[in-house]
Amino acid sequence: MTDALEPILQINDLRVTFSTPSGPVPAVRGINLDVYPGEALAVVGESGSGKSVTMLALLGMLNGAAVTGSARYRGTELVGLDPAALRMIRGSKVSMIFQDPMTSLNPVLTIGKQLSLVMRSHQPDLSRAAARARAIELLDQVAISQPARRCDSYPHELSGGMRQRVMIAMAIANYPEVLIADEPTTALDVTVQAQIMELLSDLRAEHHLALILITHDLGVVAGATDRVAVMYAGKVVETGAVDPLFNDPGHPYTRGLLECLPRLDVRHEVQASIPGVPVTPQSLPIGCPFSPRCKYVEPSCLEVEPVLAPHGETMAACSVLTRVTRVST
Amino acid sequence: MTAISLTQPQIEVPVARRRRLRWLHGPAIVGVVVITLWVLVALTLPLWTPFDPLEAVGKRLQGPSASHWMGTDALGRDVFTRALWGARTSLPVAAVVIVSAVVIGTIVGALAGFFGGWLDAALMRTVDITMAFPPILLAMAITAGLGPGIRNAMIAMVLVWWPIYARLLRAQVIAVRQREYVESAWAIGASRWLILRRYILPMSYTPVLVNSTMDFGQVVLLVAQLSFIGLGARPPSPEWGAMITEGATNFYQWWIAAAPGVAILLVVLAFNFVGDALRDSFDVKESTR
Amino acid sequence: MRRYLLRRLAVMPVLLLGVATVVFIVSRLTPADPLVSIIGERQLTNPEVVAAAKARWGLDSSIPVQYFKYMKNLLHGDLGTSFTTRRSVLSDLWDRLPATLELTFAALFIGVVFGVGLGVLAARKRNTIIDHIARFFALLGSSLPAFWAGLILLYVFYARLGILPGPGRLDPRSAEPGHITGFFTIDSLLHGDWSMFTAALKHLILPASVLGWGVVGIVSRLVRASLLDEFSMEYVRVARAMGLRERTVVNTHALRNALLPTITIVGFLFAFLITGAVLTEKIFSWPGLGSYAVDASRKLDFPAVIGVTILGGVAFLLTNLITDVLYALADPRIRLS
Repeated sequence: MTDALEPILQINDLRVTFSTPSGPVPAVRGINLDVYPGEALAVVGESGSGKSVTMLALLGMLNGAAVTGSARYRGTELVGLDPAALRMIRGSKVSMIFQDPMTSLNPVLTIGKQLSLVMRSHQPDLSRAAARARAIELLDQVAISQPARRCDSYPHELSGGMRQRVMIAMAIANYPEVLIADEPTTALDVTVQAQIMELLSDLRAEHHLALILITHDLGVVAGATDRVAVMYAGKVVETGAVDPLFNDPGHPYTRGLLECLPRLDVRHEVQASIPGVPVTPQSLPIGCPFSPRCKYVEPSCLEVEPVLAPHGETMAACSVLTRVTRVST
Repeated sequence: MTAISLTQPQIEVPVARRRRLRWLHGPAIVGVVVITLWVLVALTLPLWTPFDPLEAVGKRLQGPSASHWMGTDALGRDVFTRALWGARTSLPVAAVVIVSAVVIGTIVGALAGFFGGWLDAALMRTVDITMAFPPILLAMAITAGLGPGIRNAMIAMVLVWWPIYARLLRAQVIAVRQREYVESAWAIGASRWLILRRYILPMSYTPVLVNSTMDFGQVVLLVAQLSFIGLGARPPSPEWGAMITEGATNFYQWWIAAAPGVAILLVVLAFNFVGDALRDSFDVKESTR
Repeated sequence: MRRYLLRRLAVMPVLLLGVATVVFIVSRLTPADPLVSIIGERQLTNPEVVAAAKARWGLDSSIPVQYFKYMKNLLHGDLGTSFTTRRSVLSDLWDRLPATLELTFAALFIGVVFGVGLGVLAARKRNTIIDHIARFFALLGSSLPAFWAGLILLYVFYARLGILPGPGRLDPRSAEPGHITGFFTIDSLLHGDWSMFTAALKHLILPASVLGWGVVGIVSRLVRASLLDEFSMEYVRVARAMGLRERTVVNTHALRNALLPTITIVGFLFAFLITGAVLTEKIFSWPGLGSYAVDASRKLDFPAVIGVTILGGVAFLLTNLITDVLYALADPRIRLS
C-alpha cells in the first residue's frame, strides 16, 4: 500500500528524557520509524511505553523534556526546530487528534468558531465567510448531520462521538499530509468506535493522508492499518506489516498481546493476560526490558538489550525468538 | 504539558503532617521576621527610642534629621517614636478582634452546620444580612452609635467580622460531618459534643488559620481607617490612623503621614505574605470578603 | 435561567428587610436617648421639633411601634433629616450619588483593565522576574491603606511634581457643568466643553487609580490563577496541537474561560470599591457618598449615617444580584440550560 519510496516522516534514534525531582526519566530511548505517504501505521503499546510521548515530542509539544535524535518531515528536521516554524507545521501539515473528546473542545466557543480559528491560523487571508463555508463543508465531510446548524452549536450540545468528529474536522481543515491519532476511540462506545475508524479510513483514501494510529487496542489495528510498530519501555520492539505480525509475531510481548485478544471461535476460553506489571521508565532492568515477564527468557536476555533483527517478515527485538527463527529456516 | 501517565499501581502513602514548616520560604520568611520584630519592638519599646510619644520633645514640624529620624509633628512630638508606639495599640486590638470574631463565628457556624434545620437557616440569614453591608460603613455606623472610642470600635469590628468565620466553619462542619468516620462514630454512640470536639473542629483549623492570618492585616487597616475618621483611637493616642489624620492636616509635612503609613504597610504586607504562603501550602480557597 | 433569576429575586425582599432591620437595631444601640439620634442635641430644646419627631418616629411608644413607623417611613423614602445639612437625607444621598458612581466606575474600569492585563502577563511569563514584579505590585494594592496611598500620591504628583491637579472634582474656581447625568466627565462632553472635560478627567485620574489599585491586585491574582488553570486543560493542548498562535490560544481560547470567575467577582469588586471609596473620597475631597458618610460619622449625624448605611447595604445586595445575572449570561452552559 505504500507508493512513493520516500517516507514522509522519518524518525531516527529519537530520545525523550524528562527531568523530574527524582532524577532524569527516559521515556523514549531510541525510536526509528518511517512513515510513508498515504499509509496507515499503528503504534501499539501500553500506557508508559512512550508512544504518545514520541509523537508529542516530534511536534514540539512537550515542555521540560530533553529531546534528542532526529525526526524529519519531508526533509525538514523537527527536533530543535524554531517554535514558530513548528507551529506552522502543526495543524497544517502534521495534525494530531487526541483521546478525550469531552474535554478537547473549548466549552465557551461555538464549533464553527473553533474550526475557523484553526483555519485562519494557517490561512490568514481567509475571510470569515469563507471560513464558515469551509467549516460547514468539513462538518459534512466528517458525517455530522445538519452541519450549518451545528456550526453555531456549543460543544456541550454534541455527543462524544460527534465531538470526536469535530476534532477530526479541525485536524484535516488545512489539508495535512500526516494525521496522528492518539487513542481516538478509547473514550467512545464500541459502535461509535467503528464509525470513527471508518471515517478515518475514508478520509485517508480521499485525501491521501498518512495515518499514525496510536492505540493499545489490537482489535482496532487489524482492520484499519497497513503496518504496525509495537513499543515497549520506550523502544520499538517489533515492526512489520499487519498480517505477518498477527500471524507470526517475533516478539514475546506481541505474542502476549495477541494471546490476550478474546476470540469468538474458542469455547470456554480462559482470559489470558501477560503476567507481571508494565515496566516504568524509572525502573528499567538491565538487558531486555521485557525479561521479567517473558516466558522465553534466557540468561543472555538479562545482559544485553536486544536490537531489531529480522523474524520472518517482521523485525523484532528479541534475541531468543529471532535466533529460533533463524535456526529453523 | 501533560506527561504520560504510568500505570504502575501507586500505593497511597499518607503524607506525614510533620512537614509543617514547608510553607516557610521566600516572602513568608520575610513576613514572619517582620511580624516578630514588630511584636518584640512593641513589647520592649522604651529600649528603642529615647522619646516619650506624648510629650513635646523638639521644635514643631521639623523634617527628618539625625536626632528625629522622622521629624516632629505639629505638637513637637517625635514622629518615629509615635509610629513605633502605634503598634502597641494596633496589634493587640487586631488580635483581640480576630480572636473574638473567630470564637463567635466558630460557635455560630458549628451550631448551624451541625444541627441544620431552622437554626441553620436563621443563623445563616443573620450572617447574610450582616455581610450585606460594606464593612467599613457598618463599623462606622455601630461605632458612631455606641460612641467613638477604641473600645467601641473593637466591638463594632467584631460584629462586622464574625460572619466570615461563621460561614467558613459551617462549610467545614458540613463537609466533615458527612465523612464516614464521623458517621461511624455517631453509630457507636458518640455524643454530638464529642464528635464536634474530636473530629470536626480539629479538621477545621486550617482554613481558619489561613483566613485569620490574612484578616489580621485587614483588621489593622480597619482600625486605622476608623481612627482616621475619628471614631477609633482618640488623640493624643499615637495610633497610626489618627496620625495619618494629622498628616492630612499638615499636608506639606509629608513625614507626619509617611511614618504611620509605612508602619501599617509593613505590618499588613507581612501578614499578607505569611497568609499567602500558608494558603498556597494548604491550598485553601479564599473566603469571599 | 429564568427560574434561577426569579428565585434570586424572590429572596431579595427578605434580605432588604433584614438590612433595614439591622440598621434599625444599630440605630437604637446608642445608650442615649434615641431622640438625640434623630434630631440632634441642639434641637432638644425646641418643643415643636421634638413633638414632630416623636410623632413621626413613634418615640413615645414601644420598640415594636417604633420599628413599624421606621419601616413605614423607609418605604416612603423618608430617611430622616440630616443635622448638618438640614435637608432630607434622601435628597442628600441623591445629590451625592453621581460623584461616587463616577469615581467608582472609573476605578472599576482602571482596576479591571490593568488587572486583566497584569494577570495575563504574569501567567504567560510565569515564574520569571516579570511575574514576581507583577504579583508584588498587585500585593501592594491589597496591602496599602488606600487613603494613605492617596495622600502620598497627592503629595508627590500635586504638591511636588505639579503634574496632576489637587483634590476635588474640578478646580475650586471652576463652575460645574450643567447637570445631566451628574458625571462631570460625561456632562462636559455632552455640553461640548472640551477643556472642562479634560479638567474633570485629570481630577478623576488620581483618586480612581488609588481606588482601583486594590482592584488590580484582586483581579490580576484571580486572572493569573484562572489562566494557569486553563493552560492545563485539554482543549488548550488541542489548540496548540492545531497550530494556533500562542497569542490566540491565550486571548481567544483560554482567557474567555479564565474571565468567567472574574465576572463572578464583579459584585465583590464593587463592594470592595464602595468600601474603599469612603476614605478615598475624604482624602481627595470628592463630594460623594463616602465623604458624606465620613463627615456624618465624625459629627455624629445619625440620620445621615443610618441613611448611608442602608444605601450601602442595598447597593451591595443589588450588585450581587447583577453579578449572578452576568455570570449566568456569560457561561453558555448555564444560559442554554
